[in-house]
Amino acid sequence: MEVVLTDECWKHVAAHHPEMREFKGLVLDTIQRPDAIYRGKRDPTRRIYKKNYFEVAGVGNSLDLLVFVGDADRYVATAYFCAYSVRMLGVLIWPSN
Amino acid sequence: MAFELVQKFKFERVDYSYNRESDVLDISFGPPAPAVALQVEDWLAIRIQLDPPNLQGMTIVGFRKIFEKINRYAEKELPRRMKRLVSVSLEMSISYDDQTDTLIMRWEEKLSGWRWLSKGLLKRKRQKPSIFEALSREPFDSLRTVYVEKALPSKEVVGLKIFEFTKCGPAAIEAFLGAIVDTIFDPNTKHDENAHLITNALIQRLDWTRFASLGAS
Repeated sequence: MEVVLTDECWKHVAAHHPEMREFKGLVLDTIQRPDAIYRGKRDPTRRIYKKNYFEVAGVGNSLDLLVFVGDADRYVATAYFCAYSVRMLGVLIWPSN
Repeated sequence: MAFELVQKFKFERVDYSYNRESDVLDISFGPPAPAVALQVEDWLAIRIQLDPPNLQGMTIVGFRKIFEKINRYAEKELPRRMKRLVSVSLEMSISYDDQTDTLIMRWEEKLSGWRWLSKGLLKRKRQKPSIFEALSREPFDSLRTVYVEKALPSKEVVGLKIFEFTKCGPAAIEAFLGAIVDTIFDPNTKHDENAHLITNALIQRLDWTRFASLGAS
């Protein structure tokens, strides 16, 4: 599936999640080569791409990068590093069981 | 080993940004700063600042879509709710006793500014009596070790007590947060009356933004 990351969206991500500024490449890598893709539980029109990074310089170790993508427009909504998930991210749609 | 932590959450500055196109709400307690997320639900992240460790803010993905189910004026009321958040400070104490393996969490809302002057000065502070009620009576439920503390006679929820904390604590906290979220979004899910009571208290008294800040504690 094609995913669009606009300059405007990236500016929004970098402005509100300043730790992401250096890691646009990791966001693209997560979209291209995710560990898993989930469909949102509360908002099924949202896809969540997840990839674990063993070490993220200046941020931390073993962090999941989450990229939220609209199912309809395929635009990236936001992206950030997650240290821990209390519950499942949603319904796993890739890789399929 | 026993300990007691007291943390005050005072939101003197609350910045927020709502992107209507992507339907993402970012709330920041102070200027945006590097942080990592604690993902409470697939739509709700609490941002923890790295240096110094602090509650930095929260991100809600799908804000309008999700919150319009509860309140169709959610987006319109956003500025007023954010303004209200600034006038409140919350004091939370967490204590653990290893003899009984019990964790106790209590919270108290403190008014600030003119609200403190008008209400706080007139009331004398004293310890209120309280009772504890089990959150679940099901023997295999993760919530069975969680007890809700209620003030008397008002029965408002003022704290939580978790028994067998080292064995059941993390599962109990996850189940507790899950029960709140389920109560909001899946009203048909079977939960004890107290889960509804806590959720109502959090939504009505503390507001949904502050509910998330409690979850991060």
